[in-house]
Amino acid sequence: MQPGHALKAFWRLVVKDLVCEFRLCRSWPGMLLLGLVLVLLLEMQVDLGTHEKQQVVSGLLWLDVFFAGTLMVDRLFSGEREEGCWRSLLLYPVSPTAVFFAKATVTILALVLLECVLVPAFIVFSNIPLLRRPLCFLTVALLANLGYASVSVVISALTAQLSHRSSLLPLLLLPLMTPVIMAAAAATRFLVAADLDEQWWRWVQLLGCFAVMFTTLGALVFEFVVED
Amino acid sequence: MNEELSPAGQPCYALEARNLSVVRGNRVVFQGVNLTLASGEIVALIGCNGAGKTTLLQCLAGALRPAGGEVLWQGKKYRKCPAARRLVGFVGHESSLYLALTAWENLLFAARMWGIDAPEKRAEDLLTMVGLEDHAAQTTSLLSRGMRQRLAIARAVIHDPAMVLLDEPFTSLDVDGRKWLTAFLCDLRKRNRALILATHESVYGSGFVDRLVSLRADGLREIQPSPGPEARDEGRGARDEDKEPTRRFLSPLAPRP
Repeated sequence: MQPGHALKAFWRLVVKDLVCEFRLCRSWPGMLLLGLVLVLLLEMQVDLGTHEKQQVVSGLLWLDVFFAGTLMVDRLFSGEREEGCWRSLLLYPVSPTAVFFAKATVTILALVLLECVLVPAFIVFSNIPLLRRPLCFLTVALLANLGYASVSVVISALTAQLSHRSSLLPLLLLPLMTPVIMAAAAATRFLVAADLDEQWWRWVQLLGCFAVMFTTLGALVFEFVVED
Repeated sequence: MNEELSPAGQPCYALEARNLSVVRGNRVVFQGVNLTLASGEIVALIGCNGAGKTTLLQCLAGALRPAGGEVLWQGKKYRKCPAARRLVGFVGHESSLYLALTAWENLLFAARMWGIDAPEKRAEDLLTMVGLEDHAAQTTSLLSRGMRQRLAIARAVIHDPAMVLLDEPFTSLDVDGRKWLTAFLCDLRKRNRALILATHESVYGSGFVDRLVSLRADGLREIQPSPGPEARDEGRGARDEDKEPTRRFLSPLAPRP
């Protein structure tokens, strides 16, 4: 398949998914609402001093992103399977890898939207300067989103046709996402403390390694996961 | 019916299944299925509920990997070749339509994914062909089941495939819809397309089907060929002894072999 055709197919799939989501509002509104509710609940329960809050807010943020994001991940492929669209999608002359990257891109866009809502909410409620170093935070967020999206696309495709999909998805996703969440939380903690020393860089490198590894593995195995 | 000849002089069928078998868990859905489909031929596939008609069509379309045997498209194993998928159009049980998109957007998406030149024009032409031009801007979720079926058929043939596989295409179509679909399939046959349709309809004796095959667990069984419309027009129907196996296979109360 020519790269040009694969790129066009990738773009069409992304646009199609975005149009369908904006018209049906299946998962993104629920994801945003759950994220905000979790912020409120956590802020009400966590009554710590500024220094202690700086230690925990970064972890709470990424846990919030993870749990709210599972609502969106759960619907990633179920919409395709409802009317048999998934089977017809695989019959197009499109590489499954292009489908993988299209779904991952849509997932990343959803996560970016979620973080655009959650980060200001955390800043307002906890008074913690999460965006003290915005470019550094963007780097951490991008790598975390990439790792999250790659894993979740594969797991969502794997569980899409199961009846207990909603309960199985977080059980399979959480163990794989643990290193990403830990690395993102640790890197964000150093950012909040304005402590960009070698340790921060090591966490970012670890996060980057996981992101690259998950993306590469996801692209390679996706074809076998979706094959019937 | 035209059969192309490969360089070796052997007939090259549009589609050929050799010793196909599918296993689901511990259950053998079917085995030993051999089928040939030539260009310009319409084959009707019948069988009891659960016989595996849908599964067989999915195997032939390349959507399902069989446990054994092989499927050849125009004489070659093309299942994993993306470019060869253009040879096949598939209409499944489900509409394969995105409910959030309009009828026109669904066809446009399909046309673009197939890499068709002038996809907008092609989508418009297909909508007109299936009689949905007045519903082009309507969201697919608001279309009736019969309209979605027409749209699904349009989507399946938008890339002008050499073979069209249809799984119970007459479902949800009204009388006019059935007449339209029959004429549409005959037109595809005239344009030398190979067609196979799984159906519960009584297509036997209708004249537009060239062959009738019945799917059973141990393979396919061909049923006596249908008398053509010329024979019916002249008042000569099938002989009584030919009708009996047909009645048995088409009877909904027939015990599963």
